[in-house]
Amino acid sequence: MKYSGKKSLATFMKFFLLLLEGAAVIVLFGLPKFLGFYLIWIESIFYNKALYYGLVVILYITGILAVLILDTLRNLFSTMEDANPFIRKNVTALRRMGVYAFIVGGAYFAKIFFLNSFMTIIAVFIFFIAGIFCIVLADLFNQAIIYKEENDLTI
Amino acid sequence: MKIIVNLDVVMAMRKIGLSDLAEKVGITNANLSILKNNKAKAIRFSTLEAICRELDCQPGDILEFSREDQ
Repeated sequence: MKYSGKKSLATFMKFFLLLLEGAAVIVLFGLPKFLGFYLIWIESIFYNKALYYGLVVILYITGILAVLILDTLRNLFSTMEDANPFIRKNVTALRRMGVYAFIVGGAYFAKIFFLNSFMTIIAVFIFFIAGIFCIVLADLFNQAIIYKEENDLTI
Repeated sequence: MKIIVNLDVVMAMRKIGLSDLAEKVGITNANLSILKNNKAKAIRFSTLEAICRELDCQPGDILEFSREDQ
């Protein structure tokens, strides 16, 4: 199986992420309605206006950042498809994704204090670890670029 | 301090063009151009050997050490 280049896993991921991005944007547009239906459907005993608006705010923050993460990831796979992922643009993209992941983690961390659930705590851990992972990966890409430049300029 | 590549001088003396030399040495025009314009970070012994063979010169004719920063 080809991982990078034309007609590879990177191409599939690029289209899959585009699909996810589209779905995420649709969900974001209808979020207030969807959340209302969901809270009634699960018959939340905590359902009140303050909780509803608090959740809408947190879900909008995390949702917009999730779309940005998906978009950045899609661009990353697009450079993998071109078989040239070691470029400075990807280093900044990975760093940016790390920051987005930290903000999402922070938003879920805030949610623990007014509507705690086991999944929220897991989400906090996942996003903090993802953020650290992205920043470490950005540094790895940076070092790879330095080696690549050295190699490209060795005649 | 830096190493200056005087390839253009030797090429002019031997009256050989960039693409001709690139073809004889077996590297791309783009890479030879990088070397000629002092943009290269390193040169392989095999490349240096091939250039010296084709231009009938010594490595010292092509490479020069300068103490002045440019």
